[in-house]
Amino acid sequence: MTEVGDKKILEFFREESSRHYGFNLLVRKYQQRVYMHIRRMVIVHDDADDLVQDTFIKVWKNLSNFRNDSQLFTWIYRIATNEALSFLKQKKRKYMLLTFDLHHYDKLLTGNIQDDNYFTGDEVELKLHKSLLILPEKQRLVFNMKYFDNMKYDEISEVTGTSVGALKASYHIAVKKIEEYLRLN
Amino acid sequence: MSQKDKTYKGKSIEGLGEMPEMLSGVSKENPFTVPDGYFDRLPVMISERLKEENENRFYRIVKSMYFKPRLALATAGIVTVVLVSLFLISNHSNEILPDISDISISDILYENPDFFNSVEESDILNIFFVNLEDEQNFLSDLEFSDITDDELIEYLSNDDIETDELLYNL
Repeated sequence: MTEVGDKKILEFFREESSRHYGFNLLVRKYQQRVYMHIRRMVIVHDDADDLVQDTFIKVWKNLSNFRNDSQLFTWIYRIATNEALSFLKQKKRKYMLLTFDLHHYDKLLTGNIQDDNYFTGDEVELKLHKSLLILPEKQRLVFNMKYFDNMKYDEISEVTGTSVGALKASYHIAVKKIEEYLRLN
Repeated sequence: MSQKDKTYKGKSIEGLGEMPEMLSGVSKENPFTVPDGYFDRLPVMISERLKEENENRFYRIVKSMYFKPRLALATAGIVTVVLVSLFLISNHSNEILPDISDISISDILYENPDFFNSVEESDILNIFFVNLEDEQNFLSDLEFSDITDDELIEYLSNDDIETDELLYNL
């Protein structure tokens, strides 16, 4: 099926009679990229599934306010990013209160990658994804978007609201930490 | 790239963001997979969630009223004010109404046999008729129905009533 352009999708969405059709096109166009973006952050499929649905529900509710001053995809990415970061923050707080260990949830996620039936990477890939979990969430986010999604710094800046300079510095620090981890393990 | 973009907090960031050597051999293929048919089902699941969201809208508004502390406090305040007002009004009414209801008209007449003699006709009319329209209807129905045209002409000719005034009142 030919991919429908964002402009056409928005036109469909703005018409009351074709709103659901337009939204369906949007979901089908972006669902995989949004899912993978969230999944790399929260690791567990079930959590990613919930968050992807929440993201698209928010897209539905706010799409009428979308202005064309940013790309539709970076706008959706921003919603997905906020959903994932809020989720991780809540989980970390919950596990910290239960175990008095700041990094308990990160350790759980590391274990989850190892035991996940839906992770098909080889040993090197497994090691790389484990190393990502030592990074603070926002650094991990920047690394994922740059390294895996091949996004430009300008686009990442639109998603995170951080300057390009700060993003480059953040990516550089993340790479150094990952290299250090891989060297030691 | 502008000169500003090449520094961050005064340090050069040129060359940062390049592919790290150690990672160059690592596959960028996505190692995360999903259950079979997941992306076919996802749009349907989202549509169903949207439908549920719309159906539960009213319920959520009510729920948010009761579970958001500020709203709950505001609601409790309004309910308290309404209840106190109703209580005060009902108490005030109870103080007066029993006194009135306890008075029997026959008792008044028995204790004051000259009651009606001392009362002017206009006072009675003022008591029984709350507005002028009622009074006029009453007068036209009861009093003037018994007056003949001749009596009326005689009354008007004997009294000093100007024609203009009469027409104005009609």
